[in-house]
Amino acid sequence: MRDGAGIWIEAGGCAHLLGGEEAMCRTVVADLARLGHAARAGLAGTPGAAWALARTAKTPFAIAAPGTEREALAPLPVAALRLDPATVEALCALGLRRIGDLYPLGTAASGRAELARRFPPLLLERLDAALGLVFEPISPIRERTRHITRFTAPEPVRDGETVARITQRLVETLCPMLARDGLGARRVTLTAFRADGRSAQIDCGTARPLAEARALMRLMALCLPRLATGPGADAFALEATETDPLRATQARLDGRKDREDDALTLAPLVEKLAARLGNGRIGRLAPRPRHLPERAQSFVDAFGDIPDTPDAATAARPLRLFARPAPVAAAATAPEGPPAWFRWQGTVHPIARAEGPERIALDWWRLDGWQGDPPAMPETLADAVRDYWRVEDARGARFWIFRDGPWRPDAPERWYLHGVFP
Amino acid sequence: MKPAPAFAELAATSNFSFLRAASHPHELVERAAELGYGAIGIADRNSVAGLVRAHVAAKAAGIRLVPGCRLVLTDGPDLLAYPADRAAWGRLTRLLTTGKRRAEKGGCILSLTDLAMLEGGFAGIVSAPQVSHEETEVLSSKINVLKNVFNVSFHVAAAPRFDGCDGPRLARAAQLAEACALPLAATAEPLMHVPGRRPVFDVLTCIREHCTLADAGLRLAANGERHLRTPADMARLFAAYPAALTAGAEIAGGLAFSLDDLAYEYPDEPVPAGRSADGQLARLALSGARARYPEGVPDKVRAQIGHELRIIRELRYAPYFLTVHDIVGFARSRGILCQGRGSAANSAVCFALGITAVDPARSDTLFERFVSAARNEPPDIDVDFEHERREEVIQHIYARYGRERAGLAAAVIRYRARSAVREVGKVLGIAEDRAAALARTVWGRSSRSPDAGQTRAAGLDPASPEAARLLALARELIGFPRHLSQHVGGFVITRGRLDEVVPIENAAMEARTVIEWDKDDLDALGILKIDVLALGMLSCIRRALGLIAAHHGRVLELATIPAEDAAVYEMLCRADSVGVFQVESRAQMTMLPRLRPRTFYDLVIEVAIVRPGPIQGDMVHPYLRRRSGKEAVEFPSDELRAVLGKTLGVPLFQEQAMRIAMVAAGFSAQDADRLRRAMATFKHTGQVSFFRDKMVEGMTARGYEPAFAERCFQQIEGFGSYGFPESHAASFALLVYASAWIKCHYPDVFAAALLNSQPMGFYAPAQIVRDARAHGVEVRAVDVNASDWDCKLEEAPQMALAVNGVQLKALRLGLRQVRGLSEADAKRLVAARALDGPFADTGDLAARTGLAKAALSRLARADALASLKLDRRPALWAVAGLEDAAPLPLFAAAERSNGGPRLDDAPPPPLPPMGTGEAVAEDYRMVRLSLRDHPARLLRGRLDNLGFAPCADMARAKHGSWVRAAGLVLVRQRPGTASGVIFMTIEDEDAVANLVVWPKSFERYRATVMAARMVGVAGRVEHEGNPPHRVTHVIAERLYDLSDLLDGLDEASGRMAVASRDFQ
Repeated sequence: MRDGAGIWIEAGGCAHLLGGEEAMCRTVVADLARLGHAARAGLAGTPGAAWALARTAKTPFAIAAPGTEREALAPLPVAALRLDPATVEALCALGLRRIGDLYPLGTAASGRAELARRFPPLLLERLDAALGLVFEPISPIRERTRHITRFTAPEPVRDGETVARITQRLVETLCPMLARDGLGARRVTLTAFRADGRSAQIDCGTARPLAEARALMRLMALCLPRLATGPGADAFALEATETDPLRATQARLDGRKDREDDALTLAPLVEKLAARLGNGRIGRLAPRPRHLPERAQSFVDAFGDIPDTPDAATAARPLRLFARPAPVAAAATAPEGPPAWFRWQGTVHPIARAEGPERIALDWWRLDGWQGDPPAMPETLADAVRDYWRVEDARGARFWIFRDGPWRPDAPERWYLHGVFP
Repeated sequence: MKPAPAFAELAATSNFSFLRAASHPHELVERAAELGYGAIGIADRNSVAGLVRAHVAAKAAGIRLVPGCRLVLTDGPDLLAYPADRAAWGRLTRLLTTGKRRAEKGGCILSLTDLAMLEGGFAGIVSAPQVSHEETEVLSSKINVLKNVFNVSFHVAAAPRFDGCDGPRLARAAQLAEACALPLAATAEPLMHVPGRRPVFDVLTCIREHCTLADAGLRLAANGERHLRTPADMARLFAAYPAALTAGAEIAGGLAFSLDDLAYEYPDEPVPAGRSADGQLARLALSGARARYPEGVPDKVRAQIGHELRIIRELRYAPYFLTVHDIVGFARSRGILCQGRGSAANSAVCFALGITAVDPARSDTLFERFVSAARNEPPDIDVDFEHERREEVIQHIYARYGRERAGLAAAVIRYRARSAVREVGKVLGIAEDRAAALARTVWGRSSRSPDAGQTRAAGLDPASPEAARLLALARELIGFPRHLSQHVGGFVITRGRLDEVVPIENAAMEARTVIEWDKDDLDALGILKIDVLALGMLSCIRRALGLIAAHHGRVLELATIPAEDAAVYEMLCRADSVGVFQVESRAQMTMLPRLRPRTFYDLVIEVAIVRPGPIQGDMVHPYLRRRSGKEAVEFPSDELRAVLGKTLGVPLFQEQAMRIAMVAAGFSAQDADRLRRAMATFKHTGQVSFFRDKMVEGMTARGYEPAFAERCFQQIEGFGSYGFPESHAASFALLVYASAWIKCHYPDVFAAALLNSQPMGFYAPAQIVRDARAHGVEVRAVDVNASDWDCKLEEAPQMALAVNGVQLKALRLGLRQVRGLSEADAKRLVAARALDGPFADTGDLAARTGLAKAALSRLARADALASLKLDRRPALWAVAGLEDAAPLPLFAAAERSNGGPRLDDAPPPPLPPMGTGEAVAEDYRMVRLSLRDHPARLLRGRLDNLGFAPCADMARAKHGSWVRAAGLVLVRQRPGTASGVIFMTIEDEDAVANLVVWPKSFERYRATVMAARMVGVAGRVEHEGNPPHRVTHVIAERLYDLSDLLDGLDEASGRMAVASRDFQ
């Protein structure tokens, strides 16, 4: 249904298979309930009447025998005719609240002319359709084509080699199917139906749409070890569960592939790694507009789209940023100034040059201490800063260190190493 | 060796750069003083709106303020400009005016070429942005051109941002300075006074960018370093540029301008050539007095006028009085009703000039309350004009004085509790309905942020960090300016150009221009302001007098209404005062039967007494006790009897407080005025002890008991800021009497005038109509064949006679009552009807008026087609069936004259009939009232079943007994005095009931009290006094929200429109 909240089912001739109309309705509602939907059903001779009954029913289902639409609809509100709100309001203002109120007007020709003058044609169309005076077609939903191949073995298969050969056959059948429709697989699922009645599944994701059997088979080979065939499987199905349009790549005259598309060369590597290690484990870093360095990037899926790069922070950032800043011992020369040396992992680094400070304040909304009576700014606000310094040690190595909190004459300084420049 | 001059920060931005800085001007000034700065300069973006506040704060804190402005250009860097003298200031304000007048409200468009208007006489600082090497040349050429303008001194400044690039930044700024041959200035360019304001600053940024905190990303401040720094800190940061540190002090040293230099000059238009202002004033006063007293000017008044003229001459205020007289004269010449109010009514000269209406011969006026030689500020005359015609007066002022010399004062719109909660909630990403719910628990325009109870009621856990952040930030945000708006009516008029005193900008309303300062700023600088205010009651009275003349053949003016009519006072004693000026509120209605006014002075007291001050200062009860004879009226001395005699020994007015000080403690008139002003600001200035000692000493010296003197002072202290000036109360009392007189003698006229002057007053049209009917006026429904836009009177031979034997007319409701019908459409309808007579059917109506179908449907739904013999639904049906385009008049007329088929001749459509409940609901929806019936009557059966009695039973119930009643909510009120008590008024078909809801009950039933449209109450009855002057309240113990019953009356839309008025 176009408004997405219901389904029309043309059930003519099916009732007797399910035990009669009432039983059919009851079964449908019960089945939907099991799937987690609370539903109401209406059964009538016209789609319009069925809609009206379903929408306004106070019981789980309502049935109007064929030919009784008129009486069944009379007490229902006019909104049940699928009209727009303005028309409904106009009808109610005139006191025409129930569908039955429309009958005196909607039958005689003069009445209909009066109605037609005052209301959009939809009103009469819907009324006539609901009463069965006009035919209202339902357009069915088309099922999406699936790209799936199956293979049945004469007897249960357990060993990996056979499984691989079967998979090869399946892949070689699937790929032409895809190519014919101009699609490439992005995700492929292999299902093995085991002899003990259970089924095992593995899936494989690709970085770009794939319709070439050899490449796909290479990937599948990496995943196959994970398929738990148990006592043995006697039927296999290979389906391309996610597809994308295939971009044809132009082959060069000399037969070599074009090197420009880096993505194509990186992609196989990423795919292999993902297949080996698991899909969620390979990703990339995307920049995020945040001041705090550890929050300034997010981990996105390797195969996902790269988000637009917003403005980045203007100051330099180290190539290697530690996920957790490492505490270091350091002593500053002057108050508020950079340290003269620092010790990290046993090595002392005397500092030759320093640039800064870059003061980055912590996210104030993550601080504790707002509660109070009355609520007020947390007292820790003043201390929630870091002073970063870009330092170069005597050997020329460059580091990014910060002091946690503003400089205080009587408190010891806490320094951390957050990253390393090349 | 001379010590180095103290550091001066000149580039501070206050929150009057709206949404771009996070500290109030006074906070910046006070912090600068704390830090030991030599001077502080505030330069807001294209604005000087915050400077006066800074100026006042600077004086209080003992630090010098350097006034300046940050000129934000479309094609160049930001330039901070500081005028060196008065003339330079004038050029700056003219520049800003030019930029603002060409932009929309709130905007300012300035380019480099405009700066030539400044001519010279400025110190300037270039706020150097992050310049790259290539841009330096372009920038330096732009800057070089400006050296003529900034000829007092010119610097380049760069401020540390603590973003890791400060070293290079300062170096590049120094390079730029060198390239332009200018010195460098050290500044922090603060946007807040302490770093702790960073969260608020971020919130402001999010509000400005219309994003949430989560989405703001890099737009938030990386750190809170843009704040006022200690001089030691600045020295450290600019260690490489020591000369820059003293730049601020040097710049300040070269400037001599202070806002005190803005001397004010009154316009001299009203003074004819060849005469002096004083002479002219004296002539007008004397001739005016002679006109006021045809039998001869009383000696007392003559002496008073002389005394006043002397003071006026000494203080040189004559042009002010003449200007006001000029404006009032214009209004009178156009027949616009006006009246002065406030302390000005203490002046005999004002009475003589016709500005005020309080007769000094009959009242005891105290000129020093109005004008005092001790005060160094101009007098403040407020004049009320009819609210509908006030615009004419305003445009006259613009026309006479020109837009360069006249402008409206601004009003600073600030964040209050509700808006602060809503905005902060949006920024923090709290669900909109939650934040809105919390905002709604705040009453009206309060500035108190919600407490824990309110937070819980709105569905937020007060202990959660989320709610804590919301409340903490909202509290800080309350009071921040959001934007400037125009003041209600305060006009500033100058002799020279106004835009050389203060910048003028466009207001939101067309044809209005506004200055950047509000009335507090003007007062602080001693700039004169005339308040051209609007009073709905004046319009109402004018209309009423017009109707009386037209329909009852009696010509009256405000001044010639018969005075001291006993019937009028009797009506007021009964609290029969719906619609009467000032005394129609619930509080007043309960006071009237207690006070029982019988003379004019009683009304003066009535107006003054029902206010927070006298109630809190415990004046009201002693007065009432003495009046009703429960307490003896005694005076501590004869001289005090003279002062307090009229108020039975209880001080009620500000002038009395002043007179007590003068008479009993020997204060001079000026001292007494100082006392009065100090009373208003005791908390702030701490002069309590000074005045207390002075008063006690003075009184004991004259023989009073010290204990008594102390008590006297305490009383005065108690109502200090709230006590009314007697003159103001008297001015209002005149209008009370006039409106009461009209209501008493011509209730038909009164109702019509009130309805036509809406919106105004305490009650909605539904109550006005009900009251009119209760007084015997027949009210007729809106009808296309009878109504005009305004309500009017029609003949009604069968009506009962009114008080003075006059035959009352019937009130025909006007088309203005129909919701959604425009005045233009109504006028078209009336014109068409006037041309060719009544409408015959809907087709005729449509054809002759040419109204759109939408407008015709509204009329049909308002049941205004009854004279076409069409009920609502058939009328709607007929209207819906009309052609969309109006038929050509010629054809339509031809059809009509040929007796062609008429639309309504068709058989009536088979539409279901409309029930009374639905009809009443539709009446309320379309006409805001119903003449058919009251919803409570229709629901009486249900209400009886639920155990609710009619409101009329409340008056008869025994004192202290338990009662249950129900009705529509008319009014909710929470007066500031009454410690959180809520008063509600409910109405059913016959009567109203007054409910009292104590804070404990309010907390339990908060949602019902704040939102229900119909309410049931269970509680105890309390009476005061005896019938017919009895006051009855129901103290609510339990409240029930019956709004659903109302909705049940109208099934279709399910929501019955009843609007109540909410008051603080």
